Amino acid sequence: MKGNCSAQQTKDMISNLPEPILSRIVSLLPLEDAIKTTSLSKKWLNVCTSLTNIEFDQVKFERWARGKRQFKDFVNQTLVLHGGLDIDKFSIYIDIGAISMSNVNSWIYFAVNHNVKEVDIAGYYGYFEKLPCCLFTCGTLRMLTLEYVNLQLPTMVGLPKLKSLKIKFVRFFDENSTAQLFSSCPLLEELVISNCCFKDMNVSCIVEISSPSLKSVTVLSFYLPPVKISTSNLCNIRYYGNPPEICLETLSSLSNVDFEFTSPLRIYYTRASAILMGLQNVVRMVLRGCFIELLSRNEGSSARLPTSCFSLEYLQLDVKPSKEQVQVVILLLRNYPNLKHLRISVKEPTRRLNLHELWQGQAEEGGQLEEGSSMDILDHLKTVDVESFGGSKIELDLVRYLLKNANILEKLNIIYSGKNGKKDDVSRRSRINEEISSFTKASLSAEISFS
Amino acid sequence: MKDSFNPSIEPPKKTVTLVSSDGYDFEVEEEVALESQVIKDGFEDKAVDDREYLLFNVHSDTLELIIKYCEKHVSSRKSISAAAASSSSSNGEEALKEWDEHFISVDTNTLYDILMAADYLNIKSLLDLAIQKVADTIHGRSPEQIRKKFNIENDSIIDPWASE
Repeated sequence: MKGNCSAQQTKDMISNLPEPILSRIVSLLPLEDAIKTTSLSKKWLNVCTSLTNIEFDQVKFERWARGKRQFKDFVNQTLVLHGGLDIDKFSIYIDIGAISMSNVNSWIYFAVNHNVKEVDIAGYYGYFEKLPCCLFTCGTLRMLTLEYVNLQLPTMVGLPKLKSLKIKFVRFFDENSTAQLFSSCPLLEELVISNCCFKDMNVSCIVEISSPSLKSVTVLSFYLPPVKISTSNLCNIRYYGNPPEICLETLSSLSNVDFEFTSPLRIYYTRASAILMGLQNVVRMVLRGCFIELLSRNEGSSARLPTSCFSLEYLQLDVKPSKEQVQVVILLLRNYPNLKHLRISVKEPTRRLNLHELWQGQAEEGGQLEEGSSMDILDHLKTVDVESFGGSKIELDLVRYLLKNANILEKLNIIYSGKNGKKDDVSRRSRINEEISSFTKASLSAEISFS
Repeated sequence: MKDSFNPSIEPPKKTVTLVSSDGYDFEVEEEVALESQVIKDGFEDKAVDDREYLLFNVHSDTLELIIKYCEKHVSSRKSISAAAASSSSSNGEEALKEWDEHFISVDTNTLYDILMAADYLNIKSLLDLAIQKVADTIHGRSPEQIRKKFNIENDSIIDPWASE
């Protein structure tokens, strides 16, 4: 028999682990648990002072402390205990109304003083008022997230290492602030602007995004003034709002785009077409909201849709079941010969009753779709999903067109719209299913599923 | 009836001898021993007939566990990549995770021994697993419960977090 090395049940072994291991253990714990370990013994106190990831979450804290301790004291004591080590990540999520800005600022100052790399400032019940100047000249900062901030920038701003900037629910006080902020981040690669606004906005105000290092931009906003994007290395864009102005160089560098346009106003007709025409190297494209509507209303857009773009593999579209929009979709598909996956979401299946008649073949108003020559198109299309399918004639026409032309199609998924309060739905659906199944298929192995 | 079987093609498995601190020899396959970064680092320089390692810090009880862990991971990795190559679906990674969880559910002293051995032999995945286990054990417990669980003697002068 071998002896048992672990026989001494009474000895404290965990505390004898090498300090690097103890720090790793503590760093895996939520901060409240990590702080609790300081009271275990002297050794553990030392470990805790070497935390490099400091995250204060007041909601979690209140749940844990149950009113016995003040959040402000907890933060202050944690920071007092902190040794001299650099901080990798510092984040706060606090009740803005209950904590004074002087406290918040001293915490941020502490993080900046410890060469922080990542700062995340967020809160609830209010807006942060005046963030300390030192945050905007922090030479070590790589990632910065600001939420619910009334942003008044100091005269000097310089974030030489910042790669990622995310601003959400930020109110800018000066219309030049965005330009000042972006231009002071020479290495910026990722920019997220979500639900931001300007306090006093001049009509001529414009948000210009032009940092040459940018790779990824996300803009999700209702309240921003017009946005202009002119960068040369952008790969990804996610944009929700009114169509922005994007320069040709930027468009041709984009490979992954997701546009969701909210307003079908006439002034945006040509801008939507211009964006689409400029996207010559796009691989993955999502066009949501009014994008297709804008294209369909732009007179002569059919002539001005993009010339062949061979890079596109994935296309997702929001389409309203109207002849004009489906026509635009068919024209669009002709321009992407290498498309592999197509996903169509049918929006607002309006005039439902009317369409019900239409499908029964009683009315043929609107005439046939112009399909044009079907040479060399949809040659690479493997999967098609049609969501919120209403079964109208125009939708069936689109499905028929796809089945007729996609010669290597593997799978077509028809997902019916969720509104199925009607009694005739089951029989109606099975009739539609039958009709679709009887369509001519260019690809004999194509599998059609309905759900 | 394995017609593809040909003994001359498959060379005998190369082995390495690991000697525990209490003097027991463990003969393991080379690739199992190479899970340890420490062994791997100097491996090529060592003469083939001298592939014996004296592990002064690792008791035979612990070494047995460590070998069991490494063998499991070597064999799972093979079956996972084989499944991926034949593009057949496999829940290999899930199963391994489950196996790991079961493996690391040991008493505090054994956990300590595994931690020390994994650190000494530099077996990263095992060290991560054991460290996560200690963190999970601490999580959600009061200081007093943690002290009891790990037999930690309270020598703190200050106890700023004690509940009033």
